[in-house]
Amino acid sequence: MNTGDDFNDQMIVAEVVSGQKELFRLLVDRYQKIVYGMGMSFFHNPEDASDFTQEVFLKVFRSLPHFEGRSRFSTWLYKIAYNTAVNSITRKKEYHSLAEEESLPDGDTPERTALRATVQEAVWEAVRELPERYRICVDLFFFYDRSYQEIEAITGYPVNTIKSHVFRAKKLLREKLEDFAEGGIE
Amino acid sequence: MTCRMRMDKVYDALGEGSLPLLFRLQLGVHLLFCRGCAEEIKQLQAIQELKETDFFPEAPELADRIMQRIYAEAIESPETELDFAQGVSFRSWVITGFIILISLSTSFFGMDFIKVAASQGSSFLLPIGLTIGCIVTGYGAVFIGSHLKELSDRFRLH
Repeated sequence: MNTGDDFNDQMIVAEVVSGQKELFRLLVDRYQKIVYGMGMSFFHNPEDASDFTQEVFLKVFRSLPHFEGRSRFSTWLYKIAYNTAVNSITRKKEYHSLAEEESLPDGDTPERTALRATVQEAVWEAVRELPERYRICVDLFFFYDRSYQEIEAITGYPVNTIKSHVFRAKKLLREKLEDFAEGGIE
Repeated sequence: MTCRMRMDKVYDALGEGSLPLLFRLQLGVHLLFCRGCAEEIKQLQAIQELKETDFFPEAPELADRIMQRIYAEAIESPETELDFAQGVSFRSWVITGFIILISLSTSFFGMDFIKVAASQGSSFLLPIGLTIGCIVTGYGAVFIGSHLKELSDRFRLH
Protein backbone atom coordinates (compact mmCIF):
# COMPACT_ATOMS: atom_id res chain seq x y z
CA MET A 1 0.00 0.00 0.00
CA ASN A 2 1.39 3.40 -0.92
CA THR A 3 1.12 6.21 1.59
CA GLY A 4 1.29 9.91 0.81
CA ASP A 5 4.98 9.98 1.65
CA ASP A 6 5.70 7.09 -0.71
CA PHE A 7 3.86 8.89 -3.48
CA ASN A 8 6.05 11.90 -2.79
CA ASP A 9 9.12 9.68 -2.84
CA GLN A 10 8.14 8.33 -6.25
CA MET A 11 7.52 11.83 -7.56
CA ILE A 12 10.93 12.92 -6.33
CA VAL A 13 12.54 9.84 -7.91
CA ALA A 14 10.86 10.66 -11.25
CA GLU A 15 12.16 14.24 -11.08
CA VAL A 16 15.70 13.12 -10.20
CA VAL A 17 15.73 10.59 -13.03
CA SER A 18 14.56 13.26 -15.47
CA GLY A 19 17.65 15.29 -14.58
CA GLN A 20 16.88 17.31 -11.42
CA LYS A 21 19.72 15.80 -9.40
CA GLU A 22 19.52 18.37 -6.61
CA LEU A 23 16.12 16.98 -5.56
CA PHE A 24 17.89 13.79 -4.46
CA ARG A 25 18.78 15.74 -1.35
CA LEU A 26 15.14 15.53 -0.24
CA LEU A 27 15.42 11.74 -0.16
CA VAL A 28 18.75 11.93 1.66
CA ASP A 29 17.26 14.26 4.28
CA ARG A 30 14.28 11.98 4.72
CA TYR A 31 16.15 8.68 5.09
CA GLN A 32 19.69 9.40 6.25
CA LYS A 33 18.84 8.90 9.93
CA ILE A 34 17.31 5.49 9.23
CA VAL A 35 20.15 4.31 6.99
CA TYR A 36 22.65 5.57 9.56
CA GLY A 37 20.75 3.61 12.23
CA MET A 38 21.10 0.45 10.16
CA GLY A 39 24.79 1.26 9.75
CA MET A 40 25.21 1.52 13.52
CA SER A 41 23.50 -1.86 13.96
CA PHE A 42 25.90 -3.53 11.52
CA PHE A 43 29.15 -1.63 12.10
CA HIS A 44 28.86 -0.46 15.73
CA ASN A 45 30.79 2.79 15.29
CA PRO A 46 29.90 6.26 13.97
CA GLU A 47 32.69 6.53 11.38
CA ASP A 48 31.85 3.26 9.64
CA ALA A 49 28.14 4.01 9.89
CA SER A 50 28.72 7.40 8.20
CA ASP A 51 30.76 5.81 5.40
CA PHE A 52 28.10 3.16 5.01
CA THR A 53 25.34 5.79 4.77
CA GLN A 54 27.22 7.65 2.05
CA GLU A 55 27.91 4.46 0.13
CA VAL A 56 24.26 3.42 0.29
CA PHE A 57 22.98 6.75 -1.02
CA LEU A 58 25.54 6.72 -3.83
CA LYS A 59 24.38 3.25 -4.82
CA VAL A 60 20.76 4.36 -4.65
CA PHE A 61 21.48 7.38 -6.82
CA ARG A 62 23.26 5.25 -9.44
CA SER A 63 20.42 2.72 -9.44
CA LEU A 64 17.53 5.20 -9.54
CA PRO A 65 16.87 4.72 -13.29
CA HIS A 66 16.27 1.04 -12.52
CA PHE A 67 13.75 1.69 -9.73
CA GLU A 68 10.46 0.46 -11.18
CA GLY A 69 8.15 1.53 -8.39
CA ARG A 70 6.85 -1.98 -7.75
CA SER A 71 7.61 -1.58 -4.04
CA ARG A 72 7.77 1.44 -1.76
CA PHE A 73 10.86 3.51 -2.42
CA SER A 74 11.86 3.10 1.23
CA THR A 75 11.70 -0.71 0.97
CA TRP A 76 13.90 -0.61 -2.13
CA LEU A 77 16.33 1.68 -0.29
CA TYR A 78 16.44 -0.60 2.78
CA LYS A 79 17.12 -3.59 0.52
CA ILE A 80 20.13 -1.82 -1.00
CA ALA A 81 21.29 -0.82 2.49
CA TYR A 82 20.84 -4.36 3.83
CA ASN A 83 22.76 -5.94 0.92
CA THR A 84 25.51 -3.35 1.20
CA ALA A 85 25.92 -4.06 4.91
CA VAL A 86 25.77 -7.84 4.59
CA ASN A 87 28.33 -7.86 1.78
CA SER A 88 30.67 -5.34 3.38
CA ILE A 89 34.08 -6.68 4.31
CA THR A 90 34.41 -4.26 7.23
CA ARG A 91 31.19 -5.47 8.86
CA LYS A 92 31.40 -6.54 12.47
CA LYS A 93 30.04 -10.04 12.90
CA GLU A 94 27.26 -9.39 15.35
CA TYR A 95 24.15 -7.43 14.31
CA HIS A 96 23.06 -5.17 17.16
CA SER A 97 19.32 -4.60 17.31
CA LEU A 98 18.07 -1.03 17.63
CA ALA A 99 16.46 -2.30 20.82
CA GLU A 100 19.96 -2.28 22.32
CA GLU A 101 20.49 1.37 21.46
CA GLU A 102 21.01 3.26 24.70
CA SER A 103 22.03 6.69 23.48
CA LEU A 104 18.64 7.79 22.23
CA PRO A 105 17.59 11.34 23.03
CA ASP A 106 14.60 11.82 25.34
CA GLY A 107 11.20 11.82 23.67
CA ASP A 108 8.91 14.84 23.55
CA THR A 109 7.02 13.68 26.62
CA PRO A 110 7.83 11.32 29.53
CA GLU A 111 5.06 9.03 28.32
CA ARG A 112 6.61 8.80 24.87
CA THR A 113 10.02 8.02 26.37
CA ALA A 114 8.53 5.36 28.64
CA LEU A 115 6.58 3.78 25.80
CA ARG A 116 9.72 3.67 23.69
CA ALA A 117 11.59 1.95 26.51
CA THR A 118 8.77 -0.61 26.80
CA VAL A 119 8.96 -1.44 23.09
CA GLN A 120 12.75 -1.65 23.23
CA GLU A 121 12.60 -3.97 26.22
CA ALA A 122 10.10 -6.29 24.53
CA VAL A 123 12.02 -6.42 21.28
CA TRP A 124 15.34 -6.91 23.06
CA GLU A 125 13.96 -9.85 25.02
CA ALA A 126 12.73 -11.37 21.78
CA VAL A 127 15.82 -10.83 19.65
CA ARG A 128 18.52 -11.83 22.11
CA GLU A 129 17.51 -15.47 21.78
CA LEU A 130 17.39 -15.37 17.99
CA PRO A 131 20.22 -16.40 15.69
CA GLU A 132 22.11 -13.23 14.73
CA ARG A 133 21.02 -13.22 11.09
CA TYR A 134 17.31 -13.13 11.96
CA ARG A 135 17.50 -10.21 14.38
CA ILE A 136 17.15 -7.68 11.62
CA CYS A 137 13.76 -9.18 10.67
CA VAL A 138 12.35 -8.19 14.05
CA ASP A 139 13.95 -4.76 13.81
CA LEU A 140 12.54 -4.23 10.33
CA PHE A 141 9.11 -5.10 11.66
CA PHE A 142 9.12 -3.01 14.82
CA PHE A 143 11.39 -0.07 14.04
CA TYR A 144 11.44 0.25 10.27
CA ASP A 145 7.69 -0.35 9.99
CA ARG A 146 7.88 -3.03 7.29
CA SER A 147 5.27 -5.68 6.56
CA TYR A 148 6.17 -9.39 6.39
CA GLN A 149 6.23 -9.27 2.59
CA GLU A 150 8.50 -6.24 2.62
CA ILE A 151 10.89 -7.91 5.06
CA GLU A 152 10.99 -10.92 2.74
CA ALA A 153 11.80 -8.61 -0.17
CA ILE A 154 14.60 -6.94 1.78
CA THR A 155 16.26 -9.94 3.43
CA GLY A 156 15.23 -12.84 1.22
CA TYR A 157 14.06 -14.91 4.21
CA PRO A 158 10.74 -16.77 3.75
CA VAL A 159 7.65 -15.03 5.12
CA ASN A 160 6.85 -17.92 7.48
CA THR A 161 10.30 -17.77 9.05
CA ILE A 162 9.93 -14.01 9.52
CA LYS A 163 6.46 -14.42 11.01
CA SER A 164 7.62 -16.98 13.52
CA HIS A 165 10.44 -14.71 14.74
CA VAL A 166 8.21 -11.66 14.94
CA PHE A 167 5.44 -13.61 16.68
CA ARG A 168 7.32 -13.97 19.95
CA ALA A 169 8.30 -10.31 19.92
CA LYS A 170 4.67 -9.32 19.38
CA LYS A 171 3.59 -11.53 22.28
CA LEU A 172 6.21 -10.01 24.55
CA LEU A 173 5.24 -6.52 23.47
CA ARG A 174 1.65 -7.23 24.33
CA GLU A 175 2.54 -8.44 27.82
CA LYS A 176 4.74 -5.42 28.43
CA LEU A 177 2.06 -3.04 27.20
CA GLU A 178 -0.43 -4.61 29.58
CA ASP A 179 2.01 -4.05 32.45
CA PHE A 180 2.65 -0.55 31.17
CA ALA A 181 -1.08 0.24 31.17
CA GLU A 182 -1.51 -1.14 34.67
CA GLY A 183 1.61 0.41 36.19
CA GLY A 184 1.57 3.73 34.32
CA ILE A 185 4.77 5.72 34.03
CA GLU A 186 7.33 5.05 36.69
CA MET B 1 -16.20 -12.16 21.15
CA THR B 2 -14.13 -11.28 24.24
CA CYS B 3 -11.73 -8.35 24.57
CA ARG B 4 -8.79 -10.74 24.45
CA MET B 5 -9.96 -12.33 21.19
CA ARG B 6 -10.50 -8.92 19.65
CA MET B 7 -7.03 -7.75 20.60
CA ASP B 8 -5.55 -11.08 19.40
CA LYS B 9 -6.96 -10.27 15.98
CA VAL B 10 -5.53 -6.76 16.11
CA TYR B 11 -2.05 -8.04 17.02
CA ASP B 12 -2.24 -10.78 14.38
CA ALA B 13 -3.05 -8.17 11.75
CA LEU B 14 0.10 -6.15 12.52
CA GLY B 15 2.38 -6.64 9.55
CA GLU B 16 -0.31 -8.35 7.49
CA GLY B 17 -2.07 -5.27 6.17
CA SER B 18 -5.47 -3.98 7.21
CA LEU B 19 -8.24 -5.70 9.18
CA PRO B 20 -11.51 -6.76 7.47
CA LEU B 21 -13.98 -3.88 7.23
CA LEU B 22 -16.68 -5.64 9.28
CA PHE B 23 -14.25 -6.34 12.11
CA ARG B 24 -13.04 -2.75 12.07
CA LEU B 25 -16.60 -1.52 12.42
CA GLN B 26 -17.27 -3.92 15.31
CA LEU B 27 -14.01 -2.89 16.95
CA GLY B 28 -14.86 0.80 16.54
CA VAL B 29 -18.16 0.30 18.36
CA HIS B 30 -16.48 -1.85 21.04
CA LEU B 31 -13.83 0.81 21.68
CA LEU B 32 -16.55 3.33 22.49
CA PHE B 33 -17.55 1.25 25.52
CA CYS B 34 -14.36 -0.62 26.53
CA ARG B 35 -11.78 1.61 28.19
CA GLY B 36 -9.14 -1.15 28.45
CA CYS B 37 -9.13 -2.00 24.74
CA ALA B 38 -9.29 1.69 23.80
CA GLU B 39 -6.19 2.29 25.92
CA GLU B 40 -4.35 -0.65 24.30
CA ILE B 41 -5.21 0.57 20.81
CA LYS B 42 -4.08 4.06 21.78
CA GLN B 43 -0.72 2.65 22.85
CA LEU B 44 -0.31 0.76 19.59
CA GLN B 45 -1.07 3.95 17.68
CA ALA B 46 1.47 5.83 19.80
CA ILE B 47 4.09 3.15 19.00
CA GLN B 48 3.27 3.58 15.33
CA GLU B 49 4.06 7.28 15.65
CA LEU B 50 7.37 6.50 17.36
CA LYS B 51 8.53 4.26 14.53
CA GLU B 52 11.03 5.62 12.04
CA THR B 53 11.90 8.52 14.35
CA ASP B 54 12.38 7.85 18.04
CA PHE B 55 14.16 4.51 17.83
CA PHE B 56 17.08 5.70 15.73
CA PRO B 57 20.31 7.19 17.08
CA GLU B 58 21.14 10.78 16.25
CA ALA B 59 22.89 10.87 12.88
CA PRO B 60 25.52 13.40 11.82
CA GLU B 61 24.53 15.72 8.98
CA LEU B 62 25.64 13.78 5.92
CA ALA B 63 23.47 15.29 3.19
CA ASP B 64 26.11 17.83 2.07
CA ARG B 65 28.83 15.19 1.83
CA ILE B 66 26.56 12.79 -0.06
CA MET B 67 25.47 15.45 -2.55
CA GLN B 68 29.07 16.55 -3.09
CA ARG B 69 30.07 12.99 -3.92
CA ILE B 70 27.15 12.69 -6.32
CA TYR B 71 28.05 15.91 -8.14
CA ALA B 72 31.73 14.89 -8.25
CA GLU B 73 30.83 11.53 -9.71
CA ALA B 74 28.57 13.10 -12.33
CA ILE B 75 31.50 15.27 -13.50
CA GLU B 76 33.99 12.40 -13.50
CA SER B 77 31.76 9.91 -15.31
CA PRO B 78 29.25 11.65 -17.59
CA GLU B 79 27.95 8.26 -18.74
CA THR B 80 25.95 8.18 -15.50
CA GLU B 81 24.05 11.21 -16.74
CA LEU B 82 23.70 9.72 -20.20
CA ASP B 83 22.20 6.63 -18.61
CA PHE B 84 19.59 8.83 -16.93
CA ALA B 85 18.60 10.69 -20.09
CA GLN B 86 18.70 7.88 -22.61
CA GLY B 87 15.78 5.56 -21.87
CA VAL B 88 15.82 3.19 -24.87
CA SER B 89 19.30 2.75 -26.36
CA PHE B 90 20.29 3.80 -29.89
CA ARG B 91 20.98 0.18 -30.78
CA SER B 92 17.51 -0.96 -29.63
CA TRP B 93 15.90 1.71 -31.78
CA VAL B 94 17.80 0.58 -34.88
CA ILE B 95 17.07 -3.11 -34.26
CA THR B 96 13.36 -2.42 -33.67
CA GLY B 97 13.15 -0.31 -36.84
CA PHE B 98 14.86 -3.05 -38.80
CA ILE B 99 12.41 -5.67 -37.50
CA ILE B 100 9.41 -3.48 -38.42
CA LEU B 101 10.79 -2.89 -41.92
CA ILE B 102 11.48 -6.59 -42.52
CA SER B 103 8.04 -7.57 -41.20
CA LEU B 104 6.26 -5.10 -43.46
CA SER B 105 8.27 -6.02 -46.57
CA THR B 106 7.90 -9.77 -46.13
CA SER B 107 4.12 -9.46 -45.74
CA PHE B 108 3.94 -9.12 -49.55
CA PHE B 109 5.22 -12.67 -49.89
CA GLY B 110 2.73 -14.27 -47.48
CA MET B 111 0.09 -16.72 -48.75
CA ASP B 112 -2.79 -14.54 -47.51
CA PHE B 113 -1.49 -11.60 -49.43
CA ILE B 114 -1.23 -13.64 -52.63
CA LYS B 115 -4.81 -14.88 -52.17
CA VAL B 116 -6.14 -11.34 -51.64
CA ALA B 117 -4.13 -10.08 -54.61
CA ALA B 118 -5.57 -12.85 -56.81
CA SER B 119 -9.18 -12.06 -55.89
CA GLN B 120 -9.04 -8.26 -55.59
CA GLY B 121 -6.56 -7.31 -58.28
CA SER B 122 -4.08 -4.56 -57.49
CA SER B 123 -6.60 -1.92 -56.31
CA PHE B 124 -5.84 -2.51 -52.60
CA LEU B 125 -2.13 -1.84 -53.02
CA LEU B 126 -2.54 1.91 -52.63
CA PRO B 127 -4.03 1.90 -49.07
CA ILE B 128 -1.53 -0.79 -48.02
CA GLY B 129 1.33 1.21 -49.44
CA LEU B 130 0.10 4.33 -47.66
CA THR B 131 -0.23 2.48 -44.34
CA ILE B 132 3.26 1.02 -44.59
CA GLY B 133 4.63 4.40 -45.64
CA CYS B 134 2.97 6.10 -42.65
CA ILE B 135 4.33 3.52 -40.18
CA VAL B 136 7.88 3.69 -41.51
CA THR B 137 7.84 7.50 -41.76
CA GLY B 138 6.34 7.87 -38.26
CA TYR B 139 8.88 5.54 -36.73
CA GLY B 140 11.73 7.27 -38.56
CA ALA B 141 10.53 10.70 -37.45
CA VAL B 142 10.33 9.69 -33.77
CA PHE B 143 13.71 7.99 -34.00
CA ILE B 144 15.41 11.00 -35.60
CA GLY B 145 13.64 13.45 -33.30
CA SER B 146 14.74 11.59 -30.17
CA HIS B 147 18.34 11.08 -31.35
CA LEU B 148 19.16 14.39 -33.00
CA LYS B 149 22.37 14.83 -31.02
CA GLU B 150 23.71 11.32 -31.61
CA LEU B 151 22.82 11.37 -35.32
CA SER B 152 24.36 14.77 -35.96
CA ASP B 153 27.51 13.64 -34.12
CA ARG B 154 27.64 10.40 -36.07
CA PHE B 155 27.15 12.00 -39.51
CA ARG B 156 29.05 15.19 -38.62
CA LEU B 157 26.12 17.44 -39.39
CA HIS B 158 27.36 20.50 -37.50
